[in-house]
Amino acid sequence: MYTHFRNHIFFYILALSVFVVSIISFHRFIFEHDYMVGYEGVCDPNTDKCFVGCEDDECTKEYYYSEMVKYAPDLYKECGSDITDCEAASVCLPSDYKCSVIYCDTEADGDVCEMFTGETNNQIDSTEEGNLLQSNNTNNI
Amino acid sequence: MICYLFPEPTYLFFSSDVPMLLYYAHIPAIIISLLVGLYVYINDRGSLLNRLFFAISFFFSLWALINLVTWTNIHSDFILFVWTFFSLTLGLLAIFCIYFIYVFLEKKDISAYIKVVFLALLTPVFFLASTSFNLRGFNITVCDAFTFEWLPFKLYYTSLGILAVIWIFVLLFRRYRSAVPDFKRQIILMGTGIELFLFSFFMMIFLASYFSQIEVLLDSSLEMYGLLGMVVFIIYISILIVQFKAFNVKLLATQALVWGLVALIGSQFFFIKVSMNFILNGIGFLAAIVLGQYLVKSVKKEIQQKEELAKLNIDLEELIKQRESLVHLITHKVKGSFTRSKYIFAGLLDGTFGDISSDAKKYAKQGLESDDTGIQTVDLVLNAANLQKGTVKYDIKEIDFKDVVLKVLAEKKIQAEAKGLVVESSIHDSKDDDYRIMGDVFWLKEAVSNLIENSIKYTQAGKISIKLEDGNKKIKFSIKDTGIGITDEDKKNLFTEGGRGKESVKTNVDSTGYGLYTVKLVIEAHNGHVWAESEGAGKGSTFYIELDAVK
Repeated sequence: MYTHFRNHIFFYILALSVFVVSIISFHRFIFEHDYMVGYEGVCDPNTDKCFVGCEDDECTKEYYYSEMVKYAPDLYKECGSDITDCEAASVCLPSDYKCSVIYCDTEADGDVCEMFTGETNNQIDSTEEGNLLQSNNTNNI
Repeated sequence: MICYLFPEPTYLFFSSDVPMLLYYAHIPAIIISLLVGLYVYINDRGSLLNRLFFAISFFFSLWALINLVTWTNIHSDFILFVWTFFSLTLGLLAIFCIYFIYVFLEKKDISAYIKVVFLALLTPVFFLASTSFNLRGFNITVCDAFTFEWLPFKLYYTSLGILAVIWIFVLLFRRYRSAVPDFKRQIILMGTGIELFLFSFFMMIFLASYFSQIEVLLDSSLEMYGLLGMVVFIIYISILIVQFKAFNVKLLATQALVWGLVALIGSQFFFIKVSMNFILNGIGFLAAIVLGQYLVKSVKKEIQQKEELAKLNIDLEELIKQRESLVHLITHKVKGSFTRSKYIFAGLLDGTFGDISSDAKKYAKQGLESDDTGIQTVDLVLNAANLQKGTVKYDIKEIDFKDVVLKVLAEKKIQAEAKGLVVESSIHDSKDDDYRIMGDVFWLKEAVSNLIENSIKYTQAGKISIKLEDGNKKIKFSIKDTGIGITDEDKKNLFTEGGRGKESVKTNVDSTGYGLYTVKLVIEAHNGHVWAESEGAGKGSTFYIELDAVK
């Protein structure tokens, strides 16, 4: 019995490790939603430098967006599981644990940026531990 | 969170928003891989090699399944949970491939030390897989997590695959050099299969994710081609299964596998959009059919031949056993008869049965001599049979081979001189000469005696020269005669069981063909070498014995 265990201990360790990783991962992602969510936020080219996207393959119609990253539990709380038509998803709120809005940067992103009027704003707004660090209001579209 | 731009899949896997058949080519790959793995495992559950192959098939299938789910599913929580297993499956696949090759090459389990090394290599994967060092987040716009993966960690676990490629190559190369030819072929097949699999699989995954992360590629669909490496591996495994019975799996299953693979390549037609790729896949498809058919046929034929050969071998062994018992029965009966009549003739000669006439004594003497020859012949055949069977136990100890030769020479010299032959001996006996060898005195005397006897029998006139030399770690004994010589045709029969030359039979009608055969068996059992040289018929011959000296 002991010999059998000793001969197979390598496989037992592997199986146990896989099991533990599975449990931790399941708990982290399914229950705690402990991860950041990236998506395209609303952006107004009249006030901010926006990324330009195409709505179809031929690019007959363009749209403008900023890159939002929000902590998943905050998004669940504010919008449920679907951010479509959820205004809170497009802004960093004071209550957000982690949140950032990335606007287009001509230097970094090239000619894909678009801005009609006003000052360029490629500021990354973020909150840490619930403290909102907003330089201005341009992330509220 | 939901990937709001993508449709919800049906039953986890089925979605209209994926590159259809490239994506669904995963399903036959998973099924084939699992089927082969299961079949091999079920055939011999106790075999570690079979279990490891099943583990490889299982983790490959798991990887393909995860790939399938991450491409179609739209729930970020679930995708991220499943995504965790990419690092686990790839790390485990690399390690199990190395383990598998170790067991394949050495036919035994690996040492505890190597297992500790394996665990050490996997430890970072286990520790980081479910943390932010692996996955920090998820992009619900494009519905993947590539931009949230930590590149150093990704580099680490994919580099385990590259490590496996190198490690396995070294193992195969080292073992190949000392392998027997049949195993060399197996090593080449297994090596090519697993190296192609690992290289294409890990390289595709690494290149796809790396280039999509640095935005050289639009997406990571390139990694889906990585699974084709497994198809190659399975083909090689099938060959090993059938041709070498490496996993004790029968032909029928491999036939099914080969055609399953053909179906898999055929399924690629449905998603190819570029005409050049269509042509290339068509060539591959046709080649797979032709080569698959050829492979199955040739393997089938080879298996049949092997089975017939094995059956013939069993029959032959049975026949040899029967012949051996027949030889023993006859020789013992014959020897018994000879012995009985020998004692009758001896009794007649020494007056046990009263006085007999001088004519009767003359015939009795002839009868006695005839019986002695008969007994010697039977002993020769019996000895050869026992030596051949391996039932003779040699009493190996350090002996002086010169003493053996001198004793036999003293016995045989009288016989040779009685025939009118001159016997010359040239045995170097200086202080520097050392004729010590490891051997059995009885059987070496028998061998030397047979050679001298042979020369006396086949030399009608002239001389016999015996020579003993102390060479470099070798002792060389030779006996040269001026006898009938050996023709090229007769040379083929020398030292064979019952082998008698055409010319020799004319000179010695009583030749059994067992004398030289016995010499060969005895000398070879002493790790020595025996051979003969002759310039042809009537030109005499020289027989040599070479043995290892004790230095």
